[in-house]
Parts: sequence; structure tokens; C-alpha cells
Amino acid sequence: MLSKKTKVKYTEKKKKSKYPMVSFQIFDKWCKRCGICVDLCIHNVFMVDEDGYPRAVKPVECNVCGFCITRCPDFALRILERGEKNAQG
Amino acid sequence: MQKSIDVYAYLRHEKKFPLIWCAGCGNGIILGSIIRAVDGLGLDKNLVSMVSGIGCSGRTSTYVDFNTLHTTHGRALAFATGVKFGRPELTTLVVMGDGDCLSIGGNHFIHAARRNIDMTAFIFNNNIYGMTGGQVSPTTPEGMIASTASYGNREPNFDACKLAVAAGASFVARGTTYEADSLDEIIALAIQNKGFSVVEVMTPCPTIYGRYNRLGNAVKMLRMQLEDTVTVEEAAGMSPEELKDKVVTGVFHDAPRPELCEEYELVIETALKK
Ligand SMILES: Cc1ncc(C[n+]2csc(CCOP(=O)(O)OP(=O)(O)O)c2C)c(N)n1
Ligand code: SF4
Ligand code: SF4
Ligand code: SF4
Repeated sequence: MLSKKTKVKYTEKKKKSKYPMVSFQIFDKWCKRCGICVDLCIHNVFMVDEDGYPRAVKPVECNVCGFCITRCPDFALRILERGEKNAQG
Repeated sequence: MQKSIDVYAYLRHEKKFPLIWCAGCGNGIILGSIIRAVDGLGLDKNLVSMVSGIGCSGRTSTYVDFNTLHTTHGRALAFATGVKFGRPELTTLVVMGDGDCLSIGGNHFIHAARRNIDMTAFIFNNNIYGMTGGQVSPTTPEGMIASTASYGNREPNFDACKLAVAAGASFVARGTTYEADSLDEIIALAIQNKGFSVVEVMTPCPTIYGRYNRLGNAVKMLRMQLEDTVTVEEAAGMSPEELKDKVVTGVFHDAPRPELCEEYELVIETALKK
């Protein structure tokens, strides 16, 4: 069951869509600007703003793999699927 | 989305956030995995207890909305044994650092394994004493630098998983923070085992271990885990030379056997009949 490494799953091809399926919530007061989400997303959804915080600049490229969320050490990142309500933070 | 669970329902984010840990510290990633595993198993958070020791890793229990105990250095398993004996219906999770569990707490660790008491012990292995500034730990690999090993550590390190198997733990596995998805699955299996389960998680400490050993920033250390690890299945086909300097991940041991609290139920039954 655990024989496959995550990277195999991670590089699967994604479906193209014109509109973002998701929106991003980044809790700046919890984010420590470690850069993990920015670096690990292979679809380059994030860019770093001038203060060092990640910003989802290309949400349309996101295939909702969840990789960034599960590797954010500070629970500072949330992906809202269409129709989902904003969370606390 | 595969990971669309409300982690915040399990967190004391209103009172205790932000996390005290350094930027890029892997401890928060492990906490996320533990929460997803608990959620995936459909456990009631009020019937889960988390007991932690002292160290950076020990702070984990502060942030999560289970029944939590932040105890003393090295003794988390002793407190957890009390919790489990008193309230056997609680799913008991024990969080320890590598120093916490294997240096000062080493004795508790081998005996909890020997007794096969039903709980899941997590070893947050950052290869060093993080909180106290980088002393060498029993898991610091040979040759690596620590504040108490400025010329490189010359002591062989423990393989915590082999130690756990030898001492009698009935489920033993290792994961990494990079492979957080596999970690969720490993933790779910560990919790389901009725007996003493050990999950060692390799976690980056960029501030102390990373800096002493010039391993780069948090991102680099996290990525390094992918290169440094092989799965049990891959390792089976590799020679000892190829496996040198590799960390093996996956489930090593899954062999249920009589559990301590259940055995004591029998003792109570017998005694009541007399
Ligand atoms: C009885 C006792 N001895 C020593 C200490 C000092 N101390 C606090 S944390 C720690 C070690 C921390 O290392 P580790 O357990 O690996 O956890 P980490 O901080 O790396 O997560 C020590 C020696 C203490 N708090 N209590
Ligand atoms: S879920 Fe995160 S890592 Fe995955 S594609 Fe979207 S932004 Fe990138
Ligand atoms: S991984 Fe989390 S803490 Fe790190 S930069 Fe991204 S949002 Fe911030
Ligand atoms: S010192 Fe190391 S283990 Fe402790 S919080 Fe910082 S990065 Fe994490």
C-alpha cells in the first residue's frame, strides 16, 4: 500500500480549466514565510510578495492536489473549493 | 480534494496560534498528519488523549483539541500508561522528541513496548536536541555536528524502529514529513493496532540541526528527505552499500499480540471470582 512514493501521485497530469476551481486563504498572522508552499507546488500557483508572504497568483493552474496544504507546517494555508465558506483564521 | 477536512476543528487556533515552532520546522506537518488520520478513522476528538513530553516536539499537545497532557521530559509514556489504565476507552497518542523518547525516556520506551499497552508513540526525530540548543541525541548520525559534538559525532546512533521491534512493540513504522500523505496512512494503521505502536517521523529542524550541519533552508531540508529515503519495498532489493546513509520508511512490523489493559481485565475478573 505504501510502496508508491508521493511524487508519483504528485506528477499526474491535471485537467485544464479556464476558471479557477478554488480560491486560496493565506493566514498571514500564522504564516512564517518558510517558502515551502511556494517551492513545492509544481504548477507554480504561488509567488512571494514583497514582504515574503506567499500569494496565489495563478489559482487557475491549481489541480487541488493538496500538497501545499499538507506540507504547510503552520496551518496557514487553506484551499476553498467553489461554494465553500470562508474559514476562521 | 483529497485533503479537504476541517483541520481547524481539531486545533486550538483561537487561543494558541501561531505555533511556537521556527519557520519550516517539520513538527507542524506531523501534527497535520495526526489530525487527518484521527479524522479519517472517524474518532471522536473527546475520546482521544494526547500526552507529550518536553522539547520543541512536546508543544504539539498544546495546539490540538484532544484531551491533552504536557508532561515532563522523558516521562510522557509513564503518564500515558496511567491515562490508558484509568480510561482504557481513550485512544492514546504520545508525542516525544528523539531525545525525550530515547535518551532520558529510553527506559519507559522499552518497557511500554514490552508490555504492549495500547497507545501510539510518535517519535519526532529531528536528529538533535532542538529546544535546548543542539546537543547530540541518540539518533544523531555519526559524523554530524552538534553543540556537544563540534568535531563530528563519533557515537553510533540508535535505529529507533529496530529498538522498538526488539523490545516488543506490535506495530512499528517510519515516515517523513515530506511524504505526509503516506504518513497519514501509516498513522491510521498505527492507531488501529490494538497494542503498542511506534511511528518514528523524520522531521527537519532547520534552525538547529540544519544550521550546525549547513543543510540549507527549510525547503531544502524538506526536499532532501525525498532523496535520503527509500521505502521498505525498495530497500528489499538494495545492497547494504546502497542502503548506507539511506533512511528506510514504511511499515516494518505489524504483529498483534495480547494487550496489557485487556490482560489486566482478566486479572480483575479472576480476582473478583475468588
Ligand atoms: C528532567 C529534565 N532534564 C533535562 C531537561 C532539559 N531539556 C529540555 S528539552 C530537552 C531535549 C530536547 O530534545 P528532544 O527530546 O529531541 O526534543 P526536540 O526539542 O528536539 O523536539 C532537554 C534535555 C528537562 N526539561 N527536564
Ligand atoms: S493544491 Fe497546492 S500544491 Fe497542489 S497544485 Fe494547488 S497550489 Fe499547487
Ligand atoms: S508553507 Fe505555510 S508557513 Fe510556509 S510560506 Fe507557505 S503558507 Fe506560509
Ligand atoms: S529548534 Fe528545530 S525542532 Fe525546535 S522549533 Fe526550531 S526548527 Fe523546530
